[in-house]
Amino acid sequence: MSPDDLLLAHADLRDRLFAAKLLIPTGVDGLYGRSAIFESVLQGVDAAAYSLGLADEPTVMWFPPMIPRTTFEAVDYLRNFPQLCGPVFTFSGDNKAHSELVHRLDEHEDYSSCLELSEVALTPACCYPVYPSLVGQLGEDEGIYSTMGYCFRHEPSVDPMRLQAFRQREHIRVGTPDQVLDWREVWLDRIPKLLESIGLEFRSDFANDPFFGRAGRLMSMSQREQQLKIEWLVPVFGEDDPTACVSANYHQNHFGELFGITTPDAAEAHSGCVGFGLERCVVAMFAAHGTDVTKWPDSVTKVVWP
Amino acid sequence: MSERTETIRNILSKHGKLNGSADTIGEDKSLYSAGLTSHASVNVMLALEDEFDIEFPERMLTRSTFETVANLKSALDNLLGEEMSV
Repeated sequence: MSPDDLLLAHADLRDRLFAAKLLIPTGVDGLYGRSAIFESVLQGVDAAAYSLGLADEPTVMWFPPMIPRTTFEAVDYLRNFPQLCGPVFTFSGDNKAHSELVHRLDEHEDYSSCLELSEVALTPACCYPVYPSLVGQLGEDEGIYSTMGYCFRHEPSVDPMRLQAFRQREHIRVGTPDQVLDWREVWLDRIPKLLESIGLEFRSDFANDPFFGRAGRLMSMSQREQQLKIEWLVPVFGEDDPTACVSANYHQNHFGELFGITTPDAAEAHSGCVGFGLERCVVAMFAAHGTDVTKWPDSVTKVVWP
Repeated sequence: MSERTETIRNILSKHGKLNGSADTIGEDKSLYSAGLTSHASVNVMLALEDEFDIEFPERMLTRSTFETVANLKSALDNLLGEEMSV
């Protein structure tokens, strides 16, 4: 598909989701409301993705859609993905500074220099707050976690598969390298089962995160060469431009070293995560099965509404 | 030791965060096994580019380029031409 045709395909799917009132426009690309039906499908997919990991008896954690700025900085987000970041700015000036802020607002001028960095940033991946909470030595029965929450990435697009605010279900394993890699192997079997059950076509492939710039090129190559990231790609807009809906990642000792997490044997912990892009799965389902859920295959509705 | 190799070792000891000394590691010993992380290899790349006023082309932005002192030396020779002895 040519770049122009691809853009048209993106806009066409988004317009169909708007027309069916499944997504609610806000005027900003990638920032949408969800209808009750959209949300119900999403909750069903999340429940299925969560249930897949229940046999591992995960510790469940819930976090708000923000992380401390200290965490945001520690995980090197600004070094690796500055183009996607969402630090929160706020106002902490006096009356004079406030007058200046309001003046610029009234004149439609840029007021960013009137604001200051706050102590929080929007969460880029919902597993990020889990790692700093594990600082110290893990107990024998610890190391498997599950979390879900909103994430932010600044990549405005008409493609409804690429939202700025979206949810992930993440399963996380922290432990020895063997424990993490064995756990990832189990998920390599589980993930296709879920995607099949909700009626999506897919293929898996090694991948890299969108590291920024020339330095990022080396990071990307390194990530691919070590096969640290596997993605399950769904061809919503054709085989040439598939979208990753699920990924399985091995971080090596990155978070263990950063946050001082050790295994029960006092070795530096390794970690891995499996992330489901929930809105991506749901939008792909509407693209595959149509916008009228009453016409969806029984096999799919049984998974979403068991 | 050639001048370039010496500069590589200096940059590795400053940016490589290796477990042992960058001055003594064998030219063909894996820097990754010695503790060079992906992030550290990026810093080594940027420091080498700065020092020699070069830009590593995309074909060289692989793990193997940064795997050993010898590979780094050969990448620099490739970009700068063989080292002249003075």
